[in-house]
Order: sequence, then C-alpha cells, then structure tokens
Amino acid sequence: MPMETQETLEQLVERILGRRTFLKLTGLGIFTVAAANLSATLEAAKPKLTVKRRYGMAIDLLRCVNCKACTVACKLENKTPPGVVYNPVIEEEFGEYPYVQRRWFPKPCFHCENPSCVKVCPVKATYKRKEDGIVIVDYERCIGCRYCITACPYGARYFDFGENYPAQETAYGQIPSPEFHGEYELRQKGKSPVGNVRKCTFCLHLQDAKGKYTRPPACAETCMGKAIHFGDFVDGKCIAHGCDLNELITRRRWIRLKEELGNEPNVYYLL
Amino acid sequence: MNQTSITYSESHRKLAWLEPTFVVACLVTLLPGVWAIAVRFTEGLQATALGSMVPWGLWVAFYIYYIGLSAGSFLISTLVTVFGVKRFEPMARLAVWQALVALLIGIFFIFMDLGHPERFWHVFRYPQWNSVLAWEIQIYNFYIVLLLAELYLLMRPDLVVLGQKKSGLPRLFYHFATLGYSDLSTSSLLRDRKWIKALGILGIPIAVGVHGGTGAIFAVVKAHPYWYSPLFPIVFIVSALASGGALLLFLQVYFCLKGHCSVEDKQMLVSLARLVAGFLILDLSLLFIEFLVGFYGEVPEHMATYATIARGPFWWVFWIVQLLLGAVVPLSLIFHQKTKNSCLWLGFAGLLVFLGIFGVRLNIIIPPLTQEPLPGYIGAYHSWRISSFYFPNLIEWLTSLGTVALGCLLFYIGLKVLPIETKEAEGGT
Repeated sequence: MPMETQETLEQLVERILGRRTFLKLTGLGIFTVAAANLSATLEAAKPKLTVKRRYGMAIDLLRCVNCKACTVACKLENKTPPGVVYNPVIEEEFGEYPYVQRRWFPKPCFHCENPSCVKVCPVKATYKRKEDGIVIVDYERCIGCRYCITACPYGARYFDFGENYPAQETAYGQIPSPEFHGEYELRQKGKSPVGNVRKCTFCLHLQDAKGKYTRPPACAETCMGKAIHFGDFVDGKCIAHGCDLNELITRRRWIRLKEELGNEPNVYYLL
Repeated sequence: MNQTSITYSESHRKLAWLEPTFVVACLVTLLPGVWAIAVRFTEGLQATALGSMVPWGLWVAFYIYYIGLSAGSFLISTLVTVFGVKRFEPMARLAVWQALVALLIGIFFIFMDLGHPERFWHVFRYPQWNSVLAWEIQIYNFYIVLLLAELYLLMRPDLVVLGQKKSGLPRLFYHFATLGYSDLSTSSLLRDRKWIKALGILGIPIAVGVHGGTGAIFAVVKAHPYWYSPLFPIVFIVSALASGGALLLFLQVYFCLKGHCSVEDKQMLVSLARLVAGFLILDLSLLFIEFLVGFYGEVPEHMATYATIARGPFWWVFWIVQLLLGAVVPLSLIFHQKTKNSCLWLGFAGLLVFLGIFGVRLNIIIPPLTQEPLPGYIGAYHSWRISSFYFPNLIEWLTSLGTVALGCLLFYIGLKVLPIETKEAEGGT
C-alpha cells in the first residue's frame, strides 16, 4: 500500500513537470539566488550613489612647512593619550652628502574608499559611514583584536593601551574627550576607548546634526600655511582654506600613497 | 621478547621520577602564571610590551602555535580513523585528546589577547562575514564539538568497561562519561566505527579550515607583503602536521620507554618519525619557495622583513631555533644510520621539531609587523608603543608559561583519568 502511494506520487511529479523540467527549475532557482547574491555583491562593490558627502583632504606639500601644528592641534582636540596620534607628520631624510634631501607630510587617516581595515574587522566595529564616507570605530562594539591595525597599509590606527600623561592628575584630567560619537565624556581606566583601536575621525564631533561641519577639523583649521584643504569631494566645497577641492586636484599634480593597493584614499597630496 | 619486557620494566622504574617532576614543574610554573593572568585582566593590555606597530606578539604566536598543533594532531588521527592505517592505531585517541587540549589552550591565548575579552561574544552576535577572523571563530565551535564527539566515540568501549570495574565516585564519573550509552554489542561497536569514520571525514575539511583559515588571517593582509601569499595557509597546515606529529612522536616514545612497547610499536615510532620528517621537509621546501619568490621580487618591505628575520636582533630564532635545532638536527637524527632506530633519539627529534615550530610561529607574526608602513613613520611620533622593537615582557612570558602549564596539567589529568593510553579495545577492527 505505501509502495503504491510512493509510486503514484513520483508519477504525479513526473507527469506534471517531467523530470527534466523539475531539474531545470531547481537549477534555475539556484542560479537565480546565486545571481541575486552576486549582483548584490557587485552592487555593494560599486561606489555608493546614495552618498551625500565624501569628506577628504588635499594637502598641499608646497605649503607644508613641517611645523607639526596639525599633530598638536589634533592631540588637543581629540585629547588622545600617549602612544595615540591621529595625524603625525612623517619625515624622511635621504640621499648622500652633499645631496641630502628631506621630505615630510602630515598623515591623517585617509578614509579610503576601499578600506582594508573595515574588511577584516570580525564584529563590524569599524565601518565606513554611508552618509559621508568617514571610517570610524564603534568603541562599544570593538573587541580589541587589533586585526585592523595590522591590515591598514598606512599605519593610521593605534591601540589605546590605557596610558596617561602626567597631567592627567591635574585639571587636564577632568576635561572630557569628544571621542564618543559626539558625546563629550571622560576616558576612564578599563572602559572604552581604553582597550580599543583608535583612529582619526576627521573630527566627527564638529559636525552638526545635519552632518555639516560647524568648524573645520582641528588639523586643517590650525594649519598656518593653509596646506590642509579639507572638504567634500561630492560638491567640491572646501570647509577649510577656500578653494574647490575637485578643482585643486584637477589643476594641480597630486599623488595618493600606495595607489597600487587599490585602497583609493580620500586624501590627496598636491605636489 | 621476554628480555625486552624486562628491560622495559627496568626503564619504567628508572623513569618513575619523571611524571611527579613534570607535575611539580607545571604547578610551579602555574603559580606565577595565575598571578600574571590576574594582572593582565585587571590592568588590561597596558601590562604588555605590545605596541601600535607590533600589536600582535607572543600570545598570538602561541595562539597560532597551539591551533596548529591541534589541527595537525587531528589530521594525523584521521590516518587511523579515516584512512585505516593500522600501524598508527595505538595513537588515535592520544592524537584527538592532544588536539582538544591544544585547541583549548590556543583559544585561551587569543581570548587573553583581546583588548576587551569580556566582549568575545560579539563575534557570534555581530559577525562580519568579510572577515577571515570571524569565520575562524565560528569554525572553532564546530571543531570543538567534533573533537569531543570523536574522542567520546573512540573511548566509549573502555569508558563502559571502566564504569563496570570501578566503584564509588570513579564509577559514577565513568558512567556519566559514557552519556548512558553502554551498549557493547558488536553491532553497536560497528556503528561507533562508522560514526568515527564519518566524523573523521567531516573533520578533515574542518581541521584544514581551522588552521588553513588561521593562515588565511595573515594571507589576506595586503599591507604586509611577507604575509600576503596564497601559499601561507598551506604552509600553516604543513607546519601544523609537522608539529602535531612531532609531539605525538615524543609522547609515544615516552609511553614506549615507560613499558607499553612492542615491536609493532617501535615500527610505528619509526614510521611516525619518517612522516614528521616528510612534513618538515615539505615545510622547508615551501619556505624556500616563498623566499625564492620574495628575493626575486625585491619589494622593499618584503626584503626588509627577510633582513629582520635573518639579521635582526632575533636572528637566532630563525638560524638556531627554526633551522638548526628545529630542522637540521632532528632530520639528521631521524635519518642517520645510528639513531634512526633508537626510540630515545627519535623522541628527542620529535621534541626538537615540536619546539622548533614555535620559532616558525614567532617569525611569522613579529618580523613583518616591525616594518614601518611608511619610511619615517616611527620617528614621526615619539612613544615606545610605536616602535619596531618588540620583546615580550615578564607578564607576557609568565601568562604564556602559566597557560601552557595549565594545558599540560589538563593533558596529564586526561591521560591519567581517561582511557587514552589503552589500546586493546582499539584493536577490535
């Protein structure tokens, strides 16, 4: 009796669909799902059209005098602890006497279009903001595995080991830091961002509720040679130091570092 | 035969001091280790010598070392459970137990290495599927379950027998350990065998995933040319097989000398030693190919990494630990006319390979990280946390040694309590 039912069932399927059609349909189903997934992946890989802003910098190396005011201003603005620096000035001396040269450039996080650090994070703690392309770390999510530090080709990430300046004992220690997504809070022992990876946020806390900068990031604002042009690559408008960003990189010659890696930094160096 | 058994029992008496000494040594190492672990968890990573340039150090080296040991041991156990190599039968359980303990130690090392260990569960709650590390942690889950199941099935017949033999608390323990499945009929044993084989087959891709994946964590990092190589996961697996086999060889020699040895066992040891030698030679060949391609390419950071390995402050890790003691000496012992059939020398060779692979692990992690991402990077900001020099501090050493000692104790307790060394029931086919 059950044998018969089984046969009729099989026959039913065969009769209605035919074996080949059934297989074809299954195949088609799998293909559709795969294709949908693939196209979704490709879609995700494309530059986002929904981006309203794409903040970046054009740093004029002819104007930079290696005063390191950007480094200091950044440390004050973000109140970064010892061992954490968001915008150091990289300095190199090369050549042999008498043909010795020096070159230097401020190096913030480049907020790459294709950030290596975001890819490797196991917990989605570091991500590129859809609205303005700024790469940030969610301190409450970050588990402190430091994979992103090893993955960043530009050394833009630093670990907060929890050390403090001697001035921590003074009134300086009571000044809150802006590093909590716009909330000014005190950095405390054993609590985030201690034990997290930290990096330049393009002074995210200086944005208003609509995502517009009330004043430029500290490094750009303080730059006495007006070398750090900070602005939005979508409308080209500079927030610090006047000109149109897109016009600058069209008119001038520029490089981006380690272009061969395909990270597509949003910080251009004007030569 | 008679004569040999006499000498074995003599050597058994001679070796009687070894195990208590081992346990005492473990306990002595464990005490400062516990203190150091407490310091690490109260002070955070501030207690370490790590920095922002070398963010991964001794603990991560130990992590990949033990994960490798685990995957290697398990893969060698599949020679018995899946491929039915009769000769290696006595060590199947030992291999799986070793794999389990090594995995637990490895996971503890990476747990300890997190800046916020209390948030480890984020990996399960918010996994990011583009991250190799996220995949890795999920695979460990499957792998632990698989190892437990495999070990249980391998030991079950003996657990049942022990449960019937013993009385009191041990009886209860063994009864509990059988999970209430005490059927010893031929059909149920056959079914067990099928499951053991099935789990072994399933375990091969998982174990390869576990350690190949660990290699892939590094292989996908294009920021470091030394890591960024498709060969890396394969190198990881091969060196894992070498280290897993080497520790098994060492332990089997010890059991042999203690007095469970027969002619077959000795044959097994010789075969195992050759197997380890084979993996080691393959590992060295892969290393050679890597170097060949790297030197041909002459990419500055790649070359600088080689220079650090060969001529840096820790040159001896490469030349002496990794190559001389970890490869040349053991290979000579395994193949030299005078030593190739001597249990003692083979065991020593196993120990050397096992320790030498740790040098391999250190050289995988640290030298690439000591390279500046951009020339002038270190001098740009003065902090000892941004430095190309890294040497683990006392806390890192003590925590590591303590963790290893804890693992050794766990391993030893397992050997004493669980039917791991017994092999009679294994022979049922």
